[in-house]
Amino acid sequence: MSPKIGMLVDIIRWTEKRILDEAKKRRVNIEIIYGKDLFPEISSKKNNFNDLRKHDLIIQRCVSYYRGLYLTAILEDMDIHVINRYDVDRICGDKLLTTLVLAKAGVPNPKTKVAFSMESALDALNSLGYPAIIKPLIGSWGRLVHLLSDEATALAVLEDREAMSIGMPLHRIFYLQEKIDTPQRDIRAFVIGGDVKAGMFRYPISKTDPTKKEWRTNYALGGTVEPCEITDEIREMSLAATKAISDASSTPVEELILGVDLVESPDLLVLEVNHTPEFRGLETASGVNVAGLIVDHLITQVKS
Amino acid sequence: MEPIHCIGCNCKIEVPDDILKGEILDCIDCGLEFEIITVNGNIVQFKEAEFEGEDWGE
Repeated sequence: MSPKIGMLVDIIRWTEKRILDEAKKRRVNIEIIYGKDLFPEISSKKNNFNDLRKHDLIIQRCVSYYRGLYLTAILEDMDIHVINRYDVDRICGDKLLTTLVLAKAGVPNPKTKVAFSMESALDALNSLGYPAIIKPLIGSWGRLVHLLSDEATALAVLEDREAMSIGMPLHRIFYLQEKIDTPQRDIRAFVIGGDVKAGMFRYPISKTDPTKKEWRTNYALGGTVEPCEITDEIREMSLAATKAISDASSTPVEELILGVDLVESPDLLVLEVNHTPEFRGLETASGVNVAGLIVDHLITQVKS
Repeated sequence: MEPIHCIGCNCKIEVPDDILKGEILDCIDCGLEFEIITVNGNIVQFKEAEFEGEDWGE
């Protein structure tokens, strides 16, 4: 019998289309579940979306973190198996929580301080030293990740974040990190089912266009990618991060689909762990059929 | 599929045959983005795509 797999989305990006295409090749139907169309009654167990229970498994691929997070909470409350699980999303979608989990597990990561006022943020930055980096707790694609080259720059950015916190209170929690002296690149390792299946180096756009001063490596910011051989060190560090998330979320390692970001310093440090990792650049760089591996993994998870 | 026309500049936007609800098409002339909200035969309905949210990503 064909497994009943659903894919929770809000929009369909290139990556979700790839997953659907690979499922079709395997004659597996993945039903698209549009999160924006759902309005489940949560005040009782008699909600009107019982049709969702027919799925053996739902893969969560929302582009909006909060939409995906809360829909996963609701689906899990209906005893539906979601990959990744709510607790995985909750941790990986928040850089502060991710850092706590990595540190607890002894996974090397950049020196990071968190401050809850502008004054203490400036003190934290002085102790970290300049240049340093400020990151929002929630978000991706390099958005609002800024290099603070000196105290004057820091003051300007912190004031802006304070002003932005009127609409988004999390901006008043300042996540501050040492600037790692890297070879102008970082590494994305794609973990499926407890193993690293593909990797790539990510370079900022300034590598190919020296007129740009961009230092962030995100593909979404025009960064370029190159194949990266999965060395023993990369595998070991990526799986250590995966194990840390697994333990903290009470999720079997074998179930997880994660994108682990690493930097060479020169020893590897784990920057962050992504719970709905995209893979357009990764498939291009590595030649690995990541979408196919994801579908195979989902089928395996249904059977297990 | 029937093409759509950009609500910003009226430029014609081709629609792939395998288009799905939820996909984003962009106007190569003015850059506006459109989300497909229904697919009915070879006719699609669309609306201006959501602006990228602060919580968007991976």
